[in-house]
Amino acid sequence: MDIFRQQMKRILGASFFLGLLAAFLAFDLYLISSRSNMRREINLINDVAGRTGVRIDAEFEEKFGPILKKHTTDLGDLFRQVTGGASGDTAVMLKQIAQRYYTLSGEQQGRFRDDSAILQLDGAIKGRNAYYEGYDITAAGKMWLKQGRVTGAPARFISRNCTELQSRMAQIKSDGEKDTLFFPGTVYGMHGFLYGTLFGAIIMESAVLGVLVMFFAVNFEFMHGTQNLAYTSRRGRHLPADQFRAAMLVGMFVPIFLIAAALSVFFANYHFSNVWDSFVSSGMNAEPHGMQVVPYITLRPMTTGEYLRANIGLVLVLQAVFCLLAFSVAIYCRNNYVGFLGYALGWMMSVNLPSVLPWNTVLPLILTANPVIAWVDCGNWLTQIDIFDASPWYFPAIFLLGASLAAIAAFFGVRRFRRADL
Amino acid sequence: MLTVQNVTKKFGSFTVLENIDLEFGSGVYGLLSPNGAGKTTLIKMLVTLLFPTSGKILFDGADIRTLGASYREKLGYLPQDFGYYRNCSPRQYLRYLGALKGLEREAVEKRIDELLDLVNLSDVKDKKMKKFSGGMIQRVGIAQSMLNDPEILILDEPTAGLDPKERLRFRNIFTELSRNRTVILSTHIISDIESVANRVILIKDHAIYCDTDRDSLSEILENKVFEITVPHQKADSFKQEYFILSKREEAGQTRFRFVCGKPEDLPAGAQPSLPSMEDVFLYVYREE
Repeated sequence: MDIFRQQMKRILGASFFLGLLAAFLAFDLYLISSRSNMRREINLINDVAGRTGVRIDAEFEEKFGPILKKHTTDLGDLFRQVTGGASGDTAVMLKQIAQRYYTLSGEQQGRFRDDSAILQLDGAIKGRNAYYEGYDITAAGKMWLKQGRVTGAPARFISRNCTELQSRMAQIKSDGEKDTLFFPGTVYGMHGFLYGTLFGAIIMESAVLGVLVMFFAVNFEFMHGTQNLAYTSRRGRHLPADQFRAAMLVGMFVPIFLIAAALSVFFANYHFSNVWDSFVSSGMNAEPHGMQVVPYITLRPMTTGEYLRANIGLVLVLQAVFCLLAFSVAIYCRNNYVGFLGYALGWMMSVNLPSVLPWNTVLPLILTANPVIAWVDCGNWLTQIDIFDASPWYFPAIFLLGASLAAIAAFFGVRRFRRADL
Repeated sequence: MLTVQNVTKKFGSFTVLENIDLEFGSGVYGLLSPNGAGKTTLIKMLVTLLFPTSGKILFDGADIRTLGASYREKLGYLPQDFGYYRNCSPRQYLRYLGALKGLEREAVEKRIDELLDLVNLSDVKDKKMKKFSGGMIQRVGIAQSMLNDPEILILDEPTAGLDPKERLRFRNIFTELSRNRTVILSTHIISDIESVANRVILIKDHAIYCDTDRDSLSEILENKVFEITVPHQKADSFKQEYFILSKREEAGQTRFRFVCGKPEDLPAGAQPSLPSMEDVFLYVYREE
């Protein structure tokens, strides 16, 4: 226990750890602040959801109608105040006020933003069916296979995923998931920002810090030339077990800390309190993805709240895999600089290798299921937005494969270390 | 009792030590050889940093590899080059090593005070070690090796790089520490061995050359060491003929201390002299 405590103290007191943690947190806060121009609109829509509920049905229409009417009327008043002309078509009024936006008073700017947000929300509510109605994933998949000249097992895998995706879309349409209120994706992109950008940054930062901490802890004695003393002590060559435990605990603390800090600031600024029960597969939650605007089709019905919790869980599992992989490298390579460089190279290869391999073989499919691709793909977790991860086995496969490889390498690494000449 | 049983150590195809047999009981053992002869390799095998290619090292009859922690807890080791944490004080450093040695925290605190007092570092025990001199670091090293009050104390070149005054201090500490335990002192500084070792082990050509008590070591050169004064012009030819242990200039002539194995080859005027440990060392390793 005392050794473990000393290892913890050593890691937590390391200047690189505290410095990077502070720098990463500052970067996350900067990312959050980059969306502050949308704060007013997001919070207004959240307030609307509080008054109307999130399920878009007749009752919703009844409650939303007066709100829409109030803001449409207000827009007309504002238009008359600003231009002196008579109110008319809302699109024309919005355009003309927008052109004079910087000449408006602060109060008028606020009214204009509120009115625009409600009108855009109304447009998104009305257009929520468009993405599911016009999105034929089976046809898109076939075209993709033809263009990429993909045949054999990969083609069968992708075709099967496309079929499953199509049936899941049918379910979303029939069970009402698409008819729930969310911040219009094409306007605010809040799903992509939160899970793709912010979570992506947190995963990257946590992995970097977790990996550095693991290298730092496991090779500490070698980097300080104290291995002759440490490994001839009573604890001897069992010391890496203590170092692993301490580094793993700190490694897991990093994403917990960053997520807690970043999400506290995020949700304090952008209120989600009334949309937790909305479904992620809401027809309003469609964002540009490549050349198309497509909705996030979750593998099974998931509310925004459930999705957030699941993503936090997956970040922690992914972090554990990254730390375990780092241990399996560190136990073989006693030079931290070489080890970290090797790890970073492996990371880069994991991202790029699948894309350069021919898709007619199963190799890219296998290589795509790696933890680094999972990080790249973080905005789409548990959704079938992409035909590659349109399989319920995608995440379990990634985590199981990564963790198994790391555990096997670590097992042999530890065994080798205990028998090696130092 | 620590027993080295027919141990060979190879690095790839290079043999460092071959068929080594040794026994260490209570007392101070001086391991003597020139640099690169394999002393450190032997010591690293004794402390389980290296493992024999063949043969066994036994402690009280059991293989130290299988004994594991129960062997290492009896061990105190001062390596030739040992690292330290520059930003730690001696107290913090010893506290950590105490934890690694499996000692109770309260007992460690008491022991740290005792040992830092013994090595005369009490007044700097809370200062960062990055400001310490080589001698002070070496004293911290001695303290750490004694932390667990070891049955076997292994010191690899403990006085290398120290000034004569500090070496004398260390020798006194070794003598103090050697009671009721096995102390293995590896060095190429003969005066260290001469003053503290009861038994001397010489390593030559990857094997044990001799393993004898300190007083018997000089028997290797018994009746073979002489001194003679020769004129300058004959000094060169004399050097060619005999193995010279030392020489000095004396009133326009050269005085040689040399080895002569055969009485019939002894030059006229040569006077017998008592061989020292240094004479034996120079003679044994004359080709290296």
